[in-house]
Amino acid sequence: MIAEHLTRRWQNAGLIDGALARRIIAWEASRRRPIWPWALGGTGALAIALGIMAIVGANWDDIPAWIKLSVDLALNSACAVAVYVFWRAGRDWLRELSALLLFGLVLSGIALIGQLYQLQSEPWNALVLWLVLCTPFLALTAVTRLTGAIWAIAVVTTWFSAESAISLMLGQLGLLGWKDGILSYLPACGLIVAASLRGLWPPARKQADFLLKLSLATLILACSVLSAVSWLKGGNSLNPLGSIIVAALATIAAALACRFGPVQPARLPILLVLGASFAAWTAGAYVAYATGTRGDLERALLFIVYWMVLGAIAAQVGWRSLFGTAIAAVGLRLLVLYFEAIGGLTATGLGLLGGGVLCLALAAIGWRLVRRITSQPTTDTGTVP
Amino acid sequence: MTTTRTLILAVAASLALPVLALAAMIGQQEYRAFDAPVMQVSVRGVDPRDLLQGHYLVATFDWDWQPAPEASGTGGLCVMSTSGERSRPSVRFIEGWQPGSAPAEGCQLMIFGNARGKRDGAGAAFVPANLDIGYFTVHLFVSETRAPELEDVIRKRPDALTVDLAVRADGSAVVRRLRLGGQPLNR
Repeated sequence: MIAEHLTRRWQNAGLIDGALARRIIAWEASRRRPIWPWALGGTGALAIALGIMAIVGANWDDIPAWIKLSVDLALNSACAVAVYVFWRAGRDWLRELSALLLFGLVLSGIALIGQLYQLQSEPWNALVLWLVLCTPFLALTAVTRLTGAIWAIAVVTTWFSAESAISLMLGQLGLLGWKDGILSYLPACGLIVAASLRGLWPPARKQADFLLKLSLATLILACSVLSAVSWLKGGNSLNPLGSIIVAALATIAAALACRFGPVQPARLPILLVLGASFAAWTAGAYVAYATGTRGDLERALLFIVYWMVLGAIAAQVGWRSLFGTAIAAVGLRLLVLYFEAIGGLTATGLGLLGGGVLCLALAAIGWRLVRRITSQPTTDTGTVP
Repeated sequence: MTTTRTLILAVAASLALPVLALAAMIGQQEYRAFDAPVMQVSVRGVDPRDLLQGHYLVATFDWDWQPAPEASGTGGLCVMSTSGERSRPSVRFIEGWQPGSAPAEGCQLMIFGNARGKRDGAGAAFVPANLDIGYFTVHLFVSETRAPELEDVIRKRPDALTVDLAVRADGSAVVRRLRLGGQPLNR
């Protein structure tokens, strides 16, 4: 349906002729598969799986421990064999799905052993063990974007679950000056390094490119939140210099990984984004704990400047989605600024009017600029976002 | 993808790693408790208003102190009798005792761990070092199906919940089983 609609649209616009449109529609029709058998079959399989889980759950205490452990080991072994067989046979999607299933089963196995033997440890210990055991086979057998994204989410989750242990370590090293900042900034830089290293293996190049985009998005999100939100929690008298040095080292490591990593065309813009993010993060360390209207204004200004720089980089290299996001982010922050700066119903109403006009103006300017970027020929530096 | 012999071996090894590691974890736990003397110890919920945190009972061991330690410290818990009243083994604390040292006189078992003295606020407490998750407490996993019943029983009979504690010669302890009113909570 969508293909037919688009084909007719292109035909009406004179981009393709009637014969070509008919051939496209006929080709799409020949490849069309009914969805309902898959939907019905999927629902049935899901119902059976949920039914088994419910019966096992209801009788969990009555199942002897050795049976639980034996079944768990058998499932893990069978899944590992399946990954190997599908990998050897070149069955890509089956290989990826069984690798993801094994990834989940190993975690459930660790949790099961922890429960049955009443092991006493923090959850992050189990998560670290999980990643240590699973990263090698995921790195060797799973090369899709989906698997890469799930692995990255698992790594970030593990990192934040270890927050108390990391904070303790940072405290011992005297680096607690900008703790919230460093906790968010380091994993993003780490993911950039991991993505660059991943790209060294040609079969995983597409996954590495996706991981790089994901880690850059994480870095930008972290810097945006850190520069936009007040982190005042009873004041902070600690010097952020130590944290800034650690962040600088992490930024240098990420930059070097991008610079000397596998050939990828958007190298310079990525380095610029890294530099801008580090600058915004560092400035955030000094304005995050500022109080009152002045603090609000400083944070808003930092956020807006950061996104303007990102927008400028995106405009230069033709990253349309990032450019559009930058326009929207600046507009929204200006609108929020009105709420923060103005009190009282009448003043708020005036603020809303002003903010609304500003957003409309920004939307109009942004639309023009985006169209200009769209009409420019794509350069070889503009392929990442 | 070109599959060289090295790559095939690496993939096979990487896939065997998690399975072997899980099997090794099970083996290690079984080995730790193998042939170790087991005693029943009463456990109590730390906060009677909030016994269960998620799937876990946050508990502390209930010892029959003979006498209670005066000050907090690290050392050995001398278990003088494992057949105390209502699963409360008679114990005393020997500060400075280290794993591998000879058991103190009159002690059937020695457990290495952390003690809180009776002068330090909340009363005397002891938890084996390898089970201590902080504040002299342990987390005991309780399945979701048994949790409401368990919570109710513990409120009415605080001494009804016990654990089988296997004590190794090196002074470490392993929780083997939870019991409610003497009956195992799970098989």
